[in-house]
Amino acid sequence: MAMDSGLALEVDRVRRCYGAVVAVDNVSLTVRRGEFVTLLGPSGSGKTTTLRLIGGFEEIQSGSIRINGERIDQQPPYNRDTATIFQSGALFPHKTVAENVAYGLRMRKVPKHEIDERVAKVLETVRLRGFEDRYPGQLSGGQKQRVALARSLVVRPAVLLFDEPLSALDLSLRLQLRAEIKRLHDELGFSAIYVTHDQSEAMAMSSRVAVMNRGRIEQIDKPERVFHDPANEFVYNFIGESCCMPLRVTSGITADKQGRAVDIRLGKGLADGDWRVYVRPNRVKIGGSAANSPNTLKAELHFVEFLGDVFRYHLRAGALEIFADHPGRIAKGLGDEVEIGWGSEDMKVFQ
Amino acid sequence: MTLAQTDSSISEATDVPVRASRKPVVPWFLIAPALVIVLVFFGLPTLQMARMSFNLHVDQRLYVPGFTFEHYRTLFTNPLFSKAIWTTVQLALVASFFSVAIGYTFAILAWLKPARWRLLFVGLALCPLLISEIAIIFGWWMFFPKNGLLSQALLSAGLITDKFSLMYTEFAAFVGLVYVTLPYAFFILLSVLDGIDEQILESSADLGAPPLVTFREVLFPLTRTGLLVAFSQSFIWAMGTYATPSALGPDTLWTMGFLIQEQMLGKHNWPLASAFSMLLVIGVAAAMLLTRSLMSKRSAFHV
Amino acid sequence: MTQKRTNSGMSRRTVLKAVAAGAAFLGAPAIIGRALVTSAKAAFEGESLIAVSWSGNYEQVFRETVIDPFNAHYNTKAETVGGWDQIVSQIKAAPADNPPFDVSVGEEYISSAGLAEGLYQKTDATKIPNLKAVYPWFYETRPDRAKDYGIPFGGGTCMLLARKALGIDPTSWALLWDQRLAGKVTADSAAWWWTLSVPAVMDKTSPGLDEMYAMTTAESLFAKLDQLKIAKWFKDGAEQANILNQGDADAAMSYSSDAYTFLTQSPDEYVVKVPAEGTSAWTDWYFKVRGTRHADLADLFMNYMLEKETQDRFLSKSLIFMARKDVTVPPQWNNYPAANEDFHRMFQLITMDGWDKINADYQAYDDRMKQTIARTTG
Repeated sequence: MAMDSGLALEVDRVRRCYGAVVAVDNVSLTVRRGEFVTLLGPSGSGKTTTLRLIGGFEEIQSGSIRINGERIDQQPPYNRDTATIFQSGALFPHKTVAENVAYGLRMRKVPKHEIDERVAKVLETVRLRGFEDRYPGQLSGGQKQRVALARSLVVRPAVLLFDEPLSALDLSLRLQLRAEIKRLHDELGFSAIYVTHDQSEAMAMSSRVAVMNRGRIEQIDKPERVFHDPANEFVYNFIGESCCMPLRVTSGITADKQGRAVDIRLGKGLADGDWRVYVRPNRVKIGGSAANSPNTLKAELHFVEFLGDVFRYHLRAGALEIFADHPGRIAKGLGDEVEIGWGSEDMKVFQ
Repeated sequence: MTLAQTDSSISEATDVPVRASRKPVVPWFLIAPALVIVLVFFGLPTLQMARMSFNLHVDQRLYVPGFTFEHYRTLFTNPLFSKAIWTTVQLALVASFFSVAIGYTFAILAWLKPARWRLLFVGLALCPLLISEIAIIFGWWMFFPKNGLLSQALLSAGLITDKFSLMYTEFAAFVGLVYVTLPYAFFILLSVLDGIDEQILESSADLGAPPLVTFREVLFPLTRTGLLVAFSQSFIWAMGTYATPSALGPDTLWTMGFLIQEQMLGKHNWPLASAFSMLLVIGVAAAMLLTRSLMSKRSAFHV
Repeated sequence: MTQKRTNSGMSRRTVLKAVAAGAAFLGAPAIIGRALVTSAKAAFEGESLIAVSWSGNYEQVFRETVIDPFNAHYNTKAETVGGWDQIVSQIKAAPADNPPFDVSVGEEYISSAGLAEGLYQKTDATKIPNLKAVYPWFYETRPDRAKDYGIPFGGGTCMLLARKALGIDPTSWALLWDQRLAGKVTADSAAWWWTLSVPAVMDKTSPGLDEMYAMTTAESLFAKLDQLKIAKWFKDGAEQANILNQGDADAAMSYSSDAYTFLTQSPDEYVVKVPAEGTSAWTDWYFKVRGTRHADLADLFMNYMLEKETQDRFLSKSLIFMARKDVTVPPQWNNYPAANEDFHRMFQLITMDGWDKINADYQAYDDRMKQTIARTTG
């Protein structure tokens, strides 16, 4: 046994290819005990494959996986101390709720009376008392995912693996269950890896977020750090909405890609070259105080969208297209020139 | 239910009570056209056959209207017929068993393997259905004899030193029957497997069950009904198929089907052929009813 | 082939409703009007007719030498299908006014059943002038009750076949029991009566095949069959061919039409003969089926079957003997009967009267034969 490092899971330089496609490319990742780590990324980014490698449903081609310090990457799924909550729930349709939940305990040869106790307790925890004798076919989608959660929780695995468990549910149910998983994590303190493509889910639940792209982890950090201090353009782009302004600076003159000069003033000057300047639409000020911002841009108002809580003003300056969210109407007509501005901390510049 | 209503956090209601309250008349109305077809095209001929089985057979005529239990008595007193019943049932049972075992294996492979494998298995299983029984028999005639494909292939592979013939053996008849029934078992089981979420195998392994335990706890219980249906279908086909066992088996392999056609066509004894056919129909119907009763007990979870 | 049959079936239905139904009711004038052979070519143009013949090689020869020339001559759409023991059941199972065949073949066994069921129409000899050229033997061996039905076309025999390479001349039925051929013999287990007729032909104690016709006397024949060293029994011509082709058997009790196929397809492989003891035989009669909607065409066809040219053509492609006295005998036939007495001497029919007796005890025969099969199967 290795010395206890406080790590529930260590994934070290793991790789998996399918033919010429590299699904998981040298991924390293650790989960401390009690930590809730989210793998966030677009579809095809390798997050689910990484989870399946940890669960043992796919084989790694190089690297290693340790659980509680013990190397398990050559073990079949049934010898790994993990439990997965699948997107579909994957409940056993021929077993009752109680039998489904008891399954993992029976496999672990837990004594009967203890099984009954633990099943009852976990069903209480996920608020499904009274559903013991139902079959999965008699449950709603949300109830099924609760059973799946209980079935995995009850075996107290070293790591819980969530494979987009909420993506098949409708929005209100998703929010409700998301809060519930968060509550359970706070109460029970389990270690978990949670796969999702929904950034708000990732932000709301996680101790740390790993943003994945094309088989690699681009950044792994606390949610707020990932949001405010993205490691690279992909992460910035993937987390939260942004407008992109491709600029070309030649001899100190700032222009759009076509070379037409743009009336943009940036607090921090850009050297000669091609740049992409990003700004979050909800941080863009429009009209009034905008001119006092360290960064400003004069643009033409193209059209306006009403999004409910805000208006979205679409603007054009040469070939640049940006949009700004503002709660009220501004006293400008379509085609008028508008000045917008933003703080330096709200802007990201990539070359 | 009570708990579901009192627990405010569980707002999603289940639709079970709605289903249970549906009026039972509607389904009857919906199946009426099919029912009429079944009654007219299967029921009436069977009734006619039942009537025919009591007619007389006294001279060179095919039958003479009358009423006698003579033919049924013959079936149970003449050792030729009573032995044929046992031979047929035995052969059909063994063939169905292997047909289901092989069909199950291939259906699971086709179910779990990627699409191109599935296509291959489905294609292979379709072949016997597309070729006439007679053509298949001619194929076996090229395969089993001493100078046939099997013997030649084993000889040239160096696995045997002398040519041998499996032609006209009970084994050949059995293989021929399995070949006839296999596609039915395969497709029934594949359709049952297709209704199962593959991921539950992973979730079983994930919760600590080795493959054999997963099979016992999950896959087998979920396919048990399908296995029963596949078995009874194979059994019915195997009971009724007479050309294959009679063309491949030994001279003394007299099955019910073979004797029925011999009485019907060769001997021109329609009543006896009908009596024997009735016995076959009743046997097959009994097998189906048995399957149904076993099924209804075991599929409670389908609601 | 299928296409043609469907077509004739279609026209059968449609024509009947309008024309043929009229002919059936108006009867005589229509028949007389159409019966003139000189005007037949126009009268029957395009009309269809289905004649059932023996399945296998016979059917093919029948199509080539009878059906096709007939159609060419009269511009009709006659067709033949192969059949055997199911013929009677097929006719009986179909509606009485719409039989599956217009003309049906029958040897003594099928004729007996067909006659007992009343499936055939009487023959009007005035419409079949060629009947005058037929050997009287065909009628002399037939009971009176059957003489008014159908026309004799020819007949076949049981023959003894042996593999040429063995160098054994198949001149005696005893060869089937010969030690040199032990375990290399095949014979018919389905139409077992022909197999049973072999020891009956060899037995000279009673005339003809009489010892076959009672279980008491047939027992010794069965006992003789029990001693056969059978490689495999065959149930039909295809199986017989397979058993011989695979080398499982070197000698066979065969039938004239099957034997002809073996001889023509592999002339160097087999030698076939009618043994010196003589042989059992059957006669092929063709009957007009009751309820046919092509009664006149059937008469024309049946007369055509007895034309010398038709009979010669068929004979040139078979080992069958023909009904006409004046046929030209082809070289493959040595020892073709030259006179009516030769028929009596050479061919022993399982007669219709004989069939009456066998049929009365059929199941006992069948059971006993199955014992023989069991006893001779390894």
